[in-house]
Amino acid sequence: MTGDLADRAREIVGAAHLITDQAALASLAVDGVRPAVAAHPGSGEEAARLMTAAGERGAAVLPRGAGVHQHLGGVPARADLVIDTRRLSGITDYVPADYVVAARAGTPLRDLQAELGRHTQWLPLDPPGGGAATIGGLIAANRNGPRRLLYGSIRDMLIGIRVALPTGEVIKAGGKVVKNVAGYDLTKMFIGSLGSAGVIVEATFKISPFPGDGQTILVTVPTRAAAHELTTAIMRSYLLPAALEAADPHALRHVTKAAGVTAPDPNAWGVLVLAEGLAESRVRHVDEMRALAGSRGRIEVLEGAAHTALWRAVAEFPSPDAHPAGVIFRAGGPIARWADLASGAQEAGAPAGPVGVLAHAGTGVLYAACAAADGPSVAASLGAAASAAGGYAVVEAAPPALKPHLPLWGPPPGGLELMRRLREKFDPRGIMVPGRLGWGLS
Amino acid sequence: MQLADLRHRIEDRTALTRALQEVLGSDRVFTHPADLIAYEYDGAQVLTAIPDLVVLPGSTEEVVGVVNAARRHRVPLIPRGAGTGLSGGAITPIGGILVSLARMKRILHVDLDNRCAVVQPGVINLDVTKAVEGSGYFYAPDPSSQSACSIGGNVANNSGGVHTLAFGVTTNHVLGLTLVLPDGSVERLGGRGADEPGLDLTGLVVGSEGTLGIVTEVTVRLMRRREGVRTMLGIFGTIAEASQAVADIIASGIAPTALEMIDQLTVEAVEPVVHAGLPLDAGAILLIEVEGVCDAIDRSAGIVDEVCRKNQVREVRIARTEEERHLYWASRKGAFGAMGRLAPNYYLNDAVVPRSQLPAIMRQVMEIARRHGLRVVNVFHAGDGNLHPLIPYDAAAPGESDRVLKASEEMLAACVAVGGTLSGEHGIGIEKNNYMPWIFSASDLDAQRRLKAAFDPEDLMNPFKVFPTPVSCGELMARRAPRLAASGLWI
Repeated sequence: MTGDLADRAREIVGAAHLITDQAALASLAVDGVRPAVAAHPGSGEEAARLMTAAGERGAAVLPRGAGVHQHLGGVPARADLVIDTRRLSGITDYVPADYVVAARAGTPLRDLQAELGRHTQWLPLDPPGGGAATIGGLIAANRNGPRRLLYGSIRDMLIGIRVALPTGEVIKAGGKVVKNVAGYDLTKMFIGSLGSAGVIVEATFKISPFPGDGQTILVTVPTRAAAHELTTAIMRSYLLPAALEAADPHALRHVTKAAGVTAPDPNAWGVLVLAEGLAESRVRHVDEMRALAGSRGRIEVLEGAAHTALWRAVAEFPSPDAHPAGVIFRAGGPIARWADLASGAQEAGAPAGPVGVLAHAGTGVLYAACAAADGPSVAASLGAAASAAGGYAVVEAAPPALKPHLPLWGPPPGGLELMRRLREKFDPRGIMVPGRLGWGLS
Repeated sequence: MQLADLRHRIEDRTALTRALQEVLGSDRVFTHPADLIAYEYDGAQVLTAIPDLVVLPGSTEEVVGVVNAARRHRVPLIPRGAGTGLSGGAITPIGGILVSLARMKRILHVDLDNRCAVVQPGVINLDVTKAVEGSGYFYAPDPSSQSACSIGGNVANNSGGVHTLAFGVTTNHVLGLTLVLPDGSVERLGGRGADEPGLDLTGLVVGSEGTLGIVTEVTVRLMRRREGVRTMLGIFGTIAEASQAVADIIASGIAPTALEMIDQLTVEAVEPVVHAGLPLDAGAILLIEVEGVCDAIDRSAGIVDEVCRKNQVREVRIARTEEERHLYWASRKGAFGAMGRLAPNYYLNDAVVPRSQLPAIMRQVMEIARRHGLRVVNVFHAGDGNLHPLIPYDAAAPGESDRVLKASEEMLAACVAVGGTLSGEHGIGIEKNNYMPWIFSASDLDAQRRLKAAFDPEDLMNPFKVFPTPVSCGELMARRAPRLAASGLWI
């Protein structure tokens, strides 16, 4: 079956853009599952024809960008065809005065930012994997970073999309203007879809003026409770930080080391405030943080290279590279409940190693990382804490052999039956990313 | 095809009425023409249609009861909030049961530290902010109709507002929903935190214009009030100068929270009502608002002032008191209430263009109006590129309605031609559904229909909306002379 698929795929993309070499295919393996063949389409239409060919043969399709987020999701049940979008690269429409940019899905975020930066603009997104990740991959994986507190998430920035559907059409949703209520907002079908709804071909974002240099205000406090008290006080203040993080001692050591800064106290929790924008505003943030930190803890202000490196490390904390062979969780819930989620992650009992915790304390998203051996107990304890808080917990990365033994997705969400029906409408043959989505959705 | 051919026929009206009365009691089921006529309009006043029945459920359970009764009788359901919508989304030219959510107006839960509130769909937009502003919080989407429009209607239309520029539209502020599906099942969507796993059903339902189900609870995001705010008026000689100032203010990076344009004809209409002291001879007035920590406000305001001066502003005024600030905003938000002074009727557009196209498209809009012998009034969200050209006219004058429709259609086409869209915040409804093929291919629309079919396979929810139909807006409009313009329109 797959031999025939490779022939058909070769007809569609040309021999130069088909990968059948076993070593090359091994580098495209997802959770150890090696694809039978990989194709680099040169257009949305080619991507659509590849999926049609796969559909006719009942072959499983894994869309892929730079492969940075392939650790998300379940172990693929099958991997007959990888559709790699990296040939679909480059900006297609950019008028700086519009504050809108359209680029093909395989464009690395880094390249996009470099071009926007030439006009003192940027896509205000600082996601994990942001160095190599493609914009299509970032959308499909719904990747966001610490700065979402002030600038929003990728969901708030994506205003239009072109997608090759598993049923063979190339469609667009949304448009190229910053406000648009014409028709359904189908862009939402593809954000966080892990490729299940089709291959993203092109995306249009609203972008912002680049805010210039920022400053880090790092406060170290003795306990999680003290960190929570401080983040709550900041959230109740008039401050408008671009990011607000709470890091446990392990995570704090991890990110300060990356910044070349010595953690003031190896056992302290850290509260990290990112101030960006007008100088007057940054000064105010530093001054008020001194007052808020007061007797609670020690304060340090970082600028320049250390500041930049620190926030890169914060953004990359959820990346598998930061926790080799470990298990990484994401949990979300009511914003002010982050400390309950953190305590759930850290109080699993008799851990084999440390459980590092970094919370986006202003948005209620928390990342926890532990050794593989602690995966199941942390999963249970964090999952229970998340449910009790009205939130959720998922496993973002784990050694493939462990994945089947972990509750990767947690309890089913509301609307699961609707999700099933949507999956059926958009992927009637069920060829897309089998095994990857939760609750049997793919 | 005639509209009459498409009208839904109710087989057994008596049995349906009885079934609905069993759910709601007889006082919340309206069948008498005298009661029904109150529901023949929404904010799109040029369109009228009388529903077969009107019901007023008071809870999710009662909505389920209504849906089940309708389903058994295979009668369409048309959800309605406050009826301020501007695209005819809350009226039904093909009959059916109009479901008013006006009685579901309780704020169920407020949680300031978690920055959210759970509200029923009939809650008035401004009432959410009123409930939390004493504690220093607010609900960001603020359509000009915010003192009358409902949260449920905002969800249906993905409504914007005058502070959209900085804070986004409804979809950026809805965290979760309770939805009654046309099969009578109740789904709780979202609401478990940011980046929730699974498909983003909440995001798909927001902006679906009541065509996927009936929303009975909404979890909204609350925002912390900014410490300082400065409201300014830039008084310009021409729209072109004001447009360039808009572009330069955005480029300065200070992220203003509002950038609204008011043209000369609007000032003529609004000044005798509001008395804000606006000059009657200014070509365009920009209403600019900056917010943030107090320490940075002077600097932000200074940058705005500087940019305006560079663009030949005649004068920059700064609101010195809260009263003055409200007066500035009254000139903007009350603009369309004052339109009755210009003509008995009006027709309103909601196109959006890429921001750099604004000056050119404004010239085209004026030229189109001139060519058709019409005037055009412009009050709009300049920062977003969201135009609101409004054509005052007299429906009683022979041929004038046709000219207005023709001109409006040309304006929309001009906006689409430069990469714009049909509607920025008012919705498609039955007013612009037949223009959808201008911006979407058959495949694009088919993909949207798949979404519809997943939620509503039998097309019982607000049918005849959003997607193209065999009957044009012009035919719908031609059915009856519109009522006179009154102080009931906001954009």
